[in-house]
Amino acid sequence: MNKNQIDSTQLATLVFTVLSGEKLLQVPSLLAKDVGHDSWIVVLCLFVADAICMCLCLWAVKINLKHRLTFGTILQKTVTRVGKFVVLALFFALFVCRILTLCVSSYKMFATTFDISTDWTLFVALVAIVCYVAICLGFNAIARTSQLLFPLMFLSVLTLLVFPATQVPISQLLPIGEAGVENIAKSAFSRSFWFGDYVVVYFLMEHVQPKNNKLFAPVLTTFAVGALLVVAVNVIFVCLFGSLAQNSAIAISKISLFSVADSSNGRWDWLTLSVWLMSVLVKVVVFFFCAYRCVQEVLGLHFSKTSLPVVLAIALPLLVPLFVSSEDVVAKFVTWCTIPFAIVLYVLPFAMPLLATIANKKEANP
Amino acid sequence: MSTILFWCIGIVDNFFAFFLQMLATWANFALKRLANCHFCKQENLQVKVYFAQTFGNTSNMTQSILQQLLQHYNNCDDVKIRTVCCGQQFSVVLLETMCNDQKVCDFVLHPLLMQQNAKTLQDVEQQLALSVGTKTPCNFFEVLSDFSNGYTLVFDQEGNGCVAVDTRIALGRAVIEPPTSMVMRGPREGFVEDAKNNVTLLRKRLKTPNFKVVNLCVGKFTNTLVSVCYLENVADKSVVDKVILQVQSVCIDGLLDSSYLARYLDGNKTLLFRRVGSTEKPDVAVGKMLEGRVAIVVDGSPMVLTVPYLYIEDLQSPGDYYENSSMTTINRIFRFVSVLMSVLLPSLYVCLQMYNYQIIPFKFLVTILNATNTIPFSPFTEMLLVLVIFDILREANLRMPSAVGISLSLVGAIVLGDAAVKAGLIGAPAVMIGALSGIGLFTMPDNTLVLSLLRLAITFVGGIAGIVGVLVCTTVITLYLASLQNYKTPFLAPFTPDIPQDRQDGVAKTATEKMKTRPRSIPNTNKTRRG
Repeated sequence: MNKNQIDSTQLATLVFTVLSGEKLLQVPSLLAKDVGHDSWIVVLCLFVADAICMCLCLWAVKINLKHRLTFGTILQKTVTRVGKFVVLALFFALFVCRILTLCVSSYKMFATTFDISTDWTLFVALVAIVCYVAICLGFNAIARTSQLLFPLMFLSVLTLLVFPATQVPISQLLPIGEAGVENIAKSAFSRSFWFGDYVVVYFLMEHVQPKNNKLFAPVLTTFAVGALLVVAVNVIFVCLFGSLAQNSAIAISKISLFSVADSSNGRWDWLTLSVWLMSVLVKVVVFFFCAYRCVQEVLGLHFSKTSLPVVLAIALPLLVPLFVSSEDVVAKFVTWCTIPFAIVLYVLPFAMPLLATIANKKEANP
Repeated sequence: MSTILFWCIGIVDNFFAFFLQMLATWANFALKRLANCHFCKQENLQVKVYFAQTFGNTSNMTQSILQQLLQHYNNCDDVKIRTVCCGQQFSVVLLETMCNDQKVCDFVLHPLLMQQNAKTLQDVEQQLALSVGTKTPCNFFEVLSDFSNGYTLVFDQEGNGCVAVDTRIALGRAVIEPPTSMVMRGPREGFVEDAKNNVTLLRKRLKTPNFKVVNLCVGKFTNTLVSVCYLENVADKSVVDKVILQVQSVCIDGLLDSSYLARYLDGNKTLLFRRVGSTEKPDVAVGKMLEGRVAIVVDGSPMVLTVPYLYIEDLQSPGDYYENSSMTTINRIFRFVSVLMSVLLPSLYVCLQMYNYQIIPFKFLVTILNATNTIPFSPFTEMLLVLVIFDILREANLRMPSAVGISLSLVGAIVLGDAAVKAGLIGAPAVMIGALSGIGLFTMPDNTLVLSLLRLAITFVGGIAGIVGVLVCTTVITLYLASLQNYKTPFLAPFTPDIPQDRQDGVAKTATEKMKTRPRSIPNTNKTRRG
């Protein structure tokens, strides 16, 4: 069996994992800074966009089932070698930035919440080891891990939200749309970098095997559940903290403060939070895998074994925070790349079914 | 004169007749004795005389096979040869130490000596039809194999080959309850060292022609019998073929136990977790075969191997299937929790003590602090010390005779545990957590060593990197477990990949009458359990 092959239920749980893995950390506070208590509308809009794009991607996967071409091959057969190089380079940059921001967010969470000042290099080394092991074991292992952890992650977030959800004054959300449509749209565009997690589907195009001929239903169901959970976190976060929300960097850790009714019982919520943090780790692994695949496709290489130099090359940018403020660097980089990133995230999917059809036809009649 | 002459002739005639009668009686008595008794020392001497004679009279081919056989068994005093005349001369060759003397007399010598007109090997084979196993080996290697396994070989003098008669000795212990898997309810029979008996125990429970046995020989010197057993129309043929191919491809000097073979059956040679099941209970092996698995019986080992193997099987106890399903479910949850606890509890204790003590409830924290504030070691060192001591005690206890083992347990519990706590070297909470974790490991008896090792590793990383380290270790272990697959069966099925139909015998167990389908995670050709 191909060690990267996954079925549609595994893809569904993976989508949930990558969807919720990061958006409960820094994103709610960033959105609160932009649009105040209307942040949940931005999240909702971006999720709708993501859902549409994901459906188009899944359609492309379905078209591609016949010849099982890789994303790189599809691009090469349709938009030439240069086009493939540009698109994959953009994706590589996107993934490296996402890995960096994820690592910074989770490190910050450990540092502030758990009060653990682990050395950044040790932290990065541990993450890189996990990623290397995961790539060696194949994407199937990553997907199965996410499938195994799915109920735990879902329950842990739910446990953290149940008690605060009963305490929040929902009236804090009123008036709805106070920030104005323009601001909401602007925020959605500028923060789109943090969304669009469905892009992992591009790099699994040839590996997805629909289970019982069902591809859309399981993936969209878990996507909807994950999206609702993230929206709920945003709602609870802005309702609990109001105008202070923009200053509270790690949303989920602040929300969890309200999960414990009596502090003398200990901060058991930290344990729950730790369980959920495994989804962040899985998300880093998934993006690492995608970045690795980008390098493979760009260089046109097929390593018989996992290439350690490539893994180290992807991990190297993670040492940036040792020298400069990673937040500034990433923020500037993302600002420069907002448009190219938005193109590959939200324009390319509309062309994907067509590209997949053309590439498969060319494959059938070379 | 003539009267006297006739009288004398009559006396001589009578005397001669009497002499002949006496001779016949003596011969009859000797034959009967020969047929019923074991080989005695005097007969051994006779055999040696025949030995020389036999090779003087035989034709080239038989001589060649015999000579080759005897060259192979040069300097083996337990090789016995007898020449029997029953119409024609036949050489009976056997390994005394591997043959049952009674069987040799009853099924080989006696029938041959009673026969007076056997001309060919076919006649001999007909004559020896009393024996259960009679065959004509095809080649010299088969001759060698049969001979070393305790078959008695009968060679003719014309070089037409030989007949092998099953006269194997049956040595071994009685079928008793296996000490490694005792049950409150259910069958108490256990496998023994003899492969034939073990296959009998399986066949006793599977009275169907669909029960198939493929016998193979493994081991250059041991020539060990390996029986691959499966249920036709249930087990997947490709899995059976793969198992047979892998057993055939084993190149080893000696196969002393089934665990030797297990390493060869584990295709990718996993570092930690074994992927070949083993059981000492025939009912468990049959239960697994009914699900489509293949059982491998190795002569000389009471452990029967089963493939494919799922991790969940270690969570299942043989007694589970004879108890109420809800009770079984509760027991399995306990086992699952205790395994998680035993692997993660020491590392969490270290992390919480060293980095995140806020997680611990206040009163509990005060109790722990009171018990540990005089300890000279850090929680990390203290816990590692406790775990290492526990592992040493466990290892020593396993190797000690049971009587000494009790003393060792007492020394471990009282001297090392109680005295160390009283002396203020180790805190009581650490000892308690170490003990709790140690006991928890034994709920998954097949993986105790691996889990113990993982526990140490996670505690070590957790002590260095805190809760991040524990998370990283857990994720890596999960990734590793999720990647394992053998004989088309994912190791972590039915949880990942998720197979809803197989959850009927996962952690929660459905009542037996409701389990209508065979597990889908195990390749099989018949999905329903009703035929």
